[in-house]
Amino acid sequence: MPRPAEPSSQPLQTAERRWLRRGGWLFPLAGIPLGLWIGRKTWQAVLLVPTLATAGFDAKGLAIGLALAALPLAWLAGLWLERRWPRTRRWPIAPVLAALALLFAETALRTGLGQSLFWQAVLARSGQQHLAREISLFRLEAADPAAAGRPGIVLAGSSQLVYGIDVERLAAQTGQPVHRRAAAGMFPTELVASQGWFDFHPDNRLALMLSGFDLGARHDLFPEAIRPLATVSGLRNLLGAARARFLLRRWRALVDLGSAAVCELWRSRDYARFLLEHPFRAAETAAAAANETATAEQKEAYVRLGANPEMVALCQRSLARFFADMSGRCRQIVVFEGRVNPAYPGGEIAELSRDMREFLARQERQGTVRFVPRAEQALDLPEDLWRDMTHVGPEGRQRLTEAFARALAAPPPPEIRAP
Amino acid sequence: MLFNSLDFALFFLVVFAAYAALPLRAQNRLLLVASYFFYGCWDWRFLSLIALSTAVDFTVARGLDRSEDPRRRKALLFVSMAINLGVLGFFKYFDFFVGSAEALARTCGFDPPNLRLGLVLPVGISFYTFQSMSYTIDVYRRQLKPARHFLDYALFVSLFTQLVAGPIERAAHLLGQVMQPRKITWNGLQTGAWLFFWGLFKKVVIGDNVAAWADQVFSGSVAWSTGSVVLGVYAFALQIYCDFSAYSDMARGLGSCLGFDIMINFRNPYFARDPSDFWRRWHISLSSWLRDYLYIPLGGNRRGPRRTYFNLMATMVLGGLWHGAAWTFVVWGLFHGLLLAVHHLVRGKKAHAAPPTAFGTAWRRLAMFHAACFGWLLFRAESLRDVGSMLVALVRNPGWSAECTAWLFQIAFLSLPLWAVQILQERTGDSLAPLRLSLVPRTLLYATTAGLLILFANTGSRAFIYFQF
Repeated sequence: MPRPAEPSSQPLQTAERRWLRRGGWLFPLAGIPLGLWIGRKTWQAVLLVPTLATAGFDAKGLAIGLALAALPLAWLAGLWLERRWPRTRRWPIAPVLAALALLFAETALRTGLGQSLFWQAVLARSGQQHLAREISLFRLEAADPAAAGRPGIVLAGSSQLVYGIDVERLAAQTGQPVHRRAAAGMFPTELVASQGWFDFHPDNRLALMLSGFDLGARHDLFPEAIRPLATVSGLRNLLGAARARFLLRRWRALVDLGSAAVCELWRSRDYARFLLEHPFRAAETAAAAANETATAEQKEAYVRLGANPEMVALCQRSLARFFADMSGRCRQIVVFEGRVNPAYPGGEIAELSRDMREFLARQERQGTVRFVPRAEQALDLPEDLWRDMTHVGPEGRQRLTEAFARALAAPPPPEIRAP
Repeated sequence: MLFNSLDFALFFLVVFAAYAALPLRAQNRLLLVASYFFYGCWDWRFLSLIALSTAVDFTVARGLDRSEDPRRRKALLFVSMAINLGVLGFFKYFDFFVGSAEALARTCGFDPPNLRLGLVLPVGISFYTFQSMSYTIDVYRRQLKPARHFLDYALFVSLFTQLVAGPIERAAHLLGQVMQPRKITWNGLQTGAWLFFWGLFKKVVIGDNVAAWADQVFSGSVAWSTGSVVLGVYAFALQIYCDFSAYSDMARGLGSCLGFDIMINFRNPYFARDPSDFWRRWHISLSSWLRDYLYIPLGGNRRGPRRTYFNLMATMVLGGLWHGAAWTFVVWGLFHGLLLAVHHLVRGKKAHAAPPTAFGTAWRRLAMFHAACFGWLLFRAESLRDVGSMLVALVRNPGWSAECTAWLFQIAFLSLPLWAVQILQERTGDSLAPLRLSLVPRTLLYATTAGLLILFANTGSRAFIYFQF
């Protein structure tokens, strides 16, 4: 029976040796200048604009150049190894080394420099694509070691928070640093899965705004929204709250999200693609379409709010786990009851809002959160202060920020813990 | 169940674990059940068509082997061909021909009733029908002894590795492997893992990503200009190659893991120097099938130049029609038939010319690549009217947008490893050359492709193009 022939690598390796003898000197000759050029050009390529950082000698560039220059030596060492011990060809050394190289890339991307380069590149290209801009700002703030060392208010939530709260004004009014950890589409499932980005300092106060709209907006797990922010602790709480049948039916999404939670390369892949799609300029033409899509999604969400009771229940259960877990990792969780435009269509919203209010009140009784219901907010947001059904306009933003600041400035009630 | 899906990964792991633990006969039964399950995941109703084709050809082949009466043997062969081509023709071409007849009648002023049935095309029907037919014809020609066990033959027809998009295997090559003991070897696993991984890379990193641009251009959602049309055609050329050859590579890889040697279906076709060379490199299993069972029986090149040209055109038109029921495929077949005929004519006159220089070879390759690209324009366009409009825009609407630049960058960036590997394969004449590289370049290749796979794999589960054929 015919079988794939045993690889005979001898002729090819002889050719490699010959090629290295002839052209190996090109690596040091071209490698070091190329490395220095890459080093100098990095910030320019990342930010899409000439910057001061492009001038002068760069030690990182020299390191890249030296690595390129040394490549023929490593190549020759590999050839020598396989000639000296031919049996090693049968061992999976190359796949293992490739895996190590990927591990190195993963580690490099996780460093402050790697995160800064990557997300600044995304931010520079985000143009009018609000989601890319919000996620990159989120990740840049999360990667800032100086900010992480300062305890303050961690503001987490969906676009209602992004467009509803003026971060600078809130910081000024509360006298505390405000860490923004909000992005469009961060509904409870996304919020819970992102937990790892909120618990960076034990003295933080986590500030959320949740409403009936958040409870019913998602009709299923949405991996594309969870992936860029997935964390191990968050995913554990989200999936731990789901029923086995629910998980079994979505096992493909779970593999995807599990990979994102542990692997930064996978977590960032949507934005790596974004960089590839916009290599030389910001996303301009696609912006309108992207924003249109968001509007269409919002419109669909208005109509189908709370359509899947299984997801509503999952949101509540996972939030309960999230609150229980996070209450031990930060000083306080403040949940500001959110709201929608009074002209919001349909009766579902009232029912969901009541459910959310009761759920948060229960959580407060258990001592995991401080709940600020609408009745205590002293906040009036009539129909004309809303930009659309869920987002406030500039005047509404100002009022909401002030109300938020008042709620955060209020002294925390005496601790009540469930027995 | 696509090869590039988690479902398939799970399916294969289970099948492989059981397969490795079983003796030959049980292995074959397991693979048969697995193959029917695999096919049934698309549409279990069409399993009956595979079973019908298998039963007919197995029975006919045994009859052909036993009989010495030429008339009876011809009759048996006719029965097999009629059933196989009847089923294929009904599902694939009935609506097309009826629709075309209706359109013709309407242009003549008649008002014909709607006789189209809106049939669903069973996935892979063209592949397994041709595979099964080649077996019967080989037995008829006494080039092959028929299979002794029905289950072995059923496995030959339905082996899941290449059931739905080829390669179209020949019984002389694969049936023997089904009937004889197979071994899972370390070398086979290494080779198989590489082929599967490389196929996966081509499919989800290159094919599925560049498809987005090709789709936008051919659907007309991007304004047609010189830049967009040229780039759209390049993108489709890359997409169809990476998609189809990926399936073949993955099929070979899976086969290698199970101890089978599945035939090579592509040999760097975009390095072809002329039309004949292209068809020796592109979809080899189909082009060799058409050569052996259509072109040569029609007389090949033995009956004078005119008949040769006719045979070439007829073979290529039928080859085009094999791809699908649309006039664009017929025109694509005609175009390739014409290319082959012209090449035949020119080659005849230059029989004693000196071999081309390196520059001449590069020029020929470039010219053939662009000829193939023109063919892809005919192949992919939604209609012949679109072909005309795109060609007009190509000439009359010069322009290159920023979007074209971004796409050119994306296409070039993603396909860099493909060209590197193909140049290596072409220079060594060895499709497994990447496995023979020394440690460092091999590591770089694995790390680069795996990194690109993690970052840029299109996880949208886009079906393979050739499933529709």
